[in-house]
Amino acid sequence: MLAKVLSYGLNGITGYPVYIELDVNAGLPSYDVVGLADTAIKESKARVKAAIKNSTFNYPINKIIVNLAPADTKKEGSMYDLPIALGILAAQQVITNKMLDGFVVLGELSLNGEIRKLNGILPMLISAKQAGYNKFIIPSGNAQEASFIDKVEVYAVDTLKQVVGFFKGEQQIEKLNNKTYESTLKDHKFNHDFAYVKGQASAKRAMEIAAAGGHNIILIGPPGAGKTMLAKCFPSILPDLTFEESLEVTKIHSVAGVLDSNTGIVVERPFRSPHHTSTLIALTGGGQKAKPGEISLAHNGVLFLDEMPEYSRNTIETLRQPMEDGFITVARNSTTVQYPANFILVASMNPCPCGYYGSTTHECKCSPASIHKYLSKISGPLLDRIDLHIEVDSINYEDLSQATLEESSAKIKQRVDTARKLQLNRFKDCGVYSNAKMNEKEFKKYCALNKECTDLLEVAFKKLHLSARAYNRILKVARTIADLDGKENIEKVHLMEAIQYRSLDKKFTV
Amino acid sequence: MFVEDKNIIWLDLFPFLTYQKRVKLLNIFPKDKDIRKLFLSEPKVKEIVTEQEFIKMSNLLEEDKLDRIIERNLNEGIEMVTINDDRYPKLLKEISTPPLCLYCKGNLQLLNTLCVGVVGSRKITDYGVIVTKQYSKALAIAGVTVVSGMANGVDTVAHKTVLENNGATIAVLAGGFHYIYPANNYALSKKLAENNLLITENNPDIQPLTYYFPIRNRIIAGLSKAVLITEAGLKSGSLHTKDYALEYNRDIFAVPGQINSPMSEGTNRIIKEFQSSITLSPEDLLQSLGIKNEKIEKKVVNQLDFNSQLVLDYIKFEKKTFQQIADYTKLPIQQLNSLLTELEMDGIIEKLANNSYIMC
Repeated sequence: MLAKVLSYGLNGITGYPVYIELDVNAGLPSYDVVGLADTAIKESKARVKAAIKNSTFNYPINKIIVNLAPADTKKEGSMYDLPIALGILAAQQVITNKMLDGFVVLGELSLNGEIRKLNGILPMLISAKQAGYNKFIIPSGNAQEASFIDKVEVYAVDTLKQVVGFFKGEQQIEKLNNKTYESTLKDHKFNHDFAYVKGQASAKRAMEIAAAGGHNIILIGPPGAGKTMLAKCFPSILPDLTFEESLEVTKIHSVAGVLDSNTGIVVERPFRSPHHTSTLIALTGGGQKAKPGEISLAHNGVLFLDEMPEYSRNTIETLRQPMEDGFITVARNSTTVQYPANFILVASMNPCPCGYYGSTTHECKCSPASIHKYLSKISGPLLDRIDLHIEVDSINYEDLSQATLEESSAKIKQRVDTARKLQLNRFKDCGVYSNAKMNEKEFKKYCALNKECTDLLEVAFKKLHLSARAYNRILKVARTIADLDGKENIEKVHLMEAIQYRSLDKKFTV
Repeated sequence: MFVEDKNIIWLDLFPFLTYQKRVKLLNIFPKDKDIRKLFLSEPKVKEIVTEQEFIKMSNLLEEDKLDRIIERNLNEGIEMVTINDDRYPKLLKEISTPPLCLYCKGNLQLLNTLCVGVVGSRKITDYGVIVTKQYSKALAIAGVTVVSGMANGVDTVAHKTVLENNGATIAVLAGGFHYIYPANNYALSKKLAENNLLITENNPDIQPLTYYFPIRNRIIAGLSKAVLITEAGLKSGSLHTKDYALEYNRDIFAVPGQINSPMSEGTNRIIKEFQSSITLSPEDLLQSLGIKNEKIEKKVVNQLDFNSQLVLDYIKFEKKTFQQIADYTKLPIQQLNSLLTELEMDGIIEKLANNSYIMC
C-alpha cells in the first residue's frame, strides 16, 4: 500500500516542502530510505519501529520503502520520524491518507512513542505559511515559538498515540492559541543596567549615541576600567525589537538551536560575545551543514568583541564585508546559504599590549614597536567602519564609593527611542533604519553642513590630524547627535562633539 | 666626483674598519691618487689592517664596482658629502673625529644653518611630550634648525613638531638609509627627506647595530651650537650626547623635572652639575642662544567664556581625565565634549592618552 505525508526541510533559514512517500508491500522484511537522506534519517528505522510498537500499533513485517521527494536535495535532521511513522500506519489503514491531507507534519520520535522538540521550527513554519499551507502538527516542545504565527492551525502534540487518535477523531487536541508579540515584551528584564556603572560619563554618552544611530563603537582603555561592563549594559538602551525584526532573529536562533524554549521567541536584542580564540567559521558560519555563525546570531543586536586585537587578524578582517552588506553568504559543497548579519559592533581593546599606556596608576612596560604592532592589528579598512572611538579612563575611588545611582538605562533608552523614531521617519522609503546605514544619497541630503560648520570641519582636520576616512563618520555621528538633540540640521556643537570620537584617527602614540 | 671623495666612500664600504684605521689609510696614500690602484703594492697597508681585512678589501678593488654603488646612491636621492666638500658643515669639522663622509637625503642647505640639538629619552611622560613640543615649536619658529636622532620619544616629538610648524630639522641616523630605525618612523623619514634632511655617516647598506647609536650622538652634538635635553632618565642615551657636547664645547641646556620622577632624573642631575644649563622656558633658551625672538608671537588667548575658563583653570597644572573635568565642572556631557574639541582646535589644550587633557 502506498501512503503520502507532507513534511518540511530547511536550507539555511528558508524552508522547502518535502513529500514523504511510503510503499509497504509484500516481500522480505526490510526498510530502505531513498532521496539523499543523511544518517539521522536512515537511523529513523529503529526509532519508528520501536515507537510504533510501544504505542501498541502493529509494525508491518513487509518490505518498506521510504522516498523523500524532491529526490535531488540533501535532507537532514530527525524531523521526519513522525511523518514516516504516520505514513507506515496509513499504509496499514490504521489512519487513511485522506486524514493526513493538507497537514505539514514534523517531529522526532523517541523509542516510547513520545515526540521530541526540534530545531528550526519557526523558519519552516513561516516558509510553509508563505507557500500556502496552514495546518501543522509539531512537537509540543516547540509550541511557544510556533504560537507567534497567526492565521494558521497549529497542533502541538506529545505522543504518537495522541496524533493517531487526533486523526481518527477519537481525541481532541486544542489548536495553539495565537500569542501576540507585545504580551511577551512586558515581562522581560535586563540583567545589566547603566544605573550601576559608576563614572564613565563620556563612555556612556558615546554608547547612547551608538545606540541611537546604530553606530559601531570601539572602547579603548586599561584593564579594569569597565569596558566589558559598559558593553554588557549596551543592549539595555537599544530600541525594542519590532515583531518583524524579532522573527528574523528567532529564525536564525531556531536554526542554530539556541532558542530559549520557554519564551519561544527572541524578545531581547541578541548580545553575542564570542571568545577571541573563536575560529573564523564560528564567527561567519559554516561547517558541514552551513550553520549560522556568531555574526548572524547577533543579527539585529550586538556583536561584542572583547580585546579585539587578540582575535586573529584573519578573523577580524572577515567582518568587513558583512558589516558593509548586512548579510553573509556561506558556501559549502552541499549548499549555499545566505544569513542576515546586521549587527552593531561593540569592540574593546587596551591601548597597548600590557594595557597601561598613558595610565597614571601603572607604568606601561611596552616598547613603542610592540604598541605599534598591537594597534596595527586592527586594519584601516576595519577602523573605517567603526564610527565611534572612545577612550575609557580608569575609575577613581571616589566614583566607586559613591552610593548614589547613576542615570538608569530606561531613561537613556527613552532618548534613544525618540532619536530612532526621527530616523525611521526620515528614511521611511529608503530601506534604511538608522543613521549608520545611510548610503551616499541620503548622506548628501541629510548631512549637509552650513558654511560655519564646513569651515570648522576644515580647521579641525588640519589641526587635529584627522584622516580623510574620518569625514563621513564624523558627519553621520553628528547627525545622530543632532537627532538626540531634536534638531533638524547639524549644528556646530553637534559637529564638535562628533569630532571627539575619532581618537584612533589621530596620532595615537609617539 | 674627485678621487679623494671616492677614496673615502670606498673605505666606507668596509664596516669592520675603525675610524682610526680609515684615517691612517687615507694618510699613507697621496691625496690625489686612487687608493685602489696602489692598495696591493703599498707595504704600509698591512701594518694597519689585519690579514683578513686585507683579503676582504682586495676583493673590492674593481673600478666599476664603486661607481655602480655611487650611481645607485645618487639614483636613490642620496648625496655623499665628504669632509673635503664645501657643503660639509663647518661646526662638525671642528670636532676631534668628524665623520669622513655624510650620506644625506633632502635639503642639503640645512647643513650649514644654525642648529640646536633636541634630545631625550625614548620613553617619555606627558610632561616630556609637552615641553619637547613647546621648545621645538619655539626653535622652529625662530628659524633654528632642530637636530635630533629620529628615535622614539623625544626625538620623534621634536621632528614632528618642527614639521607641523614648517620649521627646519635634521635627523641623524645610526644606520644606513636602507635600514630606517625604528621601523615605525619610516613614514616620518620619508617626510623629512622632502624638505628637511636625513643624514648618516654609514653607507646605505649598513644595519643600525647597537654600538652605532652612541657614536651617532657625536654628530648631533657636533652639528649643533647647543644641545637641549628635554626629558631623560639616568640611563638615557641622550646623556652621551651631553658628554660629547661638553667635549666639543657646546652649550648644554636641560629642562628641569619633578625630583621624584625617574624620567627626569637625568636632566635634573645635569642641572645639578652645570647650574647654568637650566632652562625655564623656550624664550629663556632663545635668549641664552642670543636669538631675537621677535618672530614668536605671544600666545594670544581670546576672551574665553565662563565655562572654558573654568575648565582651563582646572587643568592648568595637572592633567585631568574627562571624568574628573565632568565632575568638577558639572557641565552636561555633550556640552563638555564640544567645548573640549573647541579648546583643542584652538591649540589651548591637548588631549593625552587615557582620555585626559592638559593645558599646553
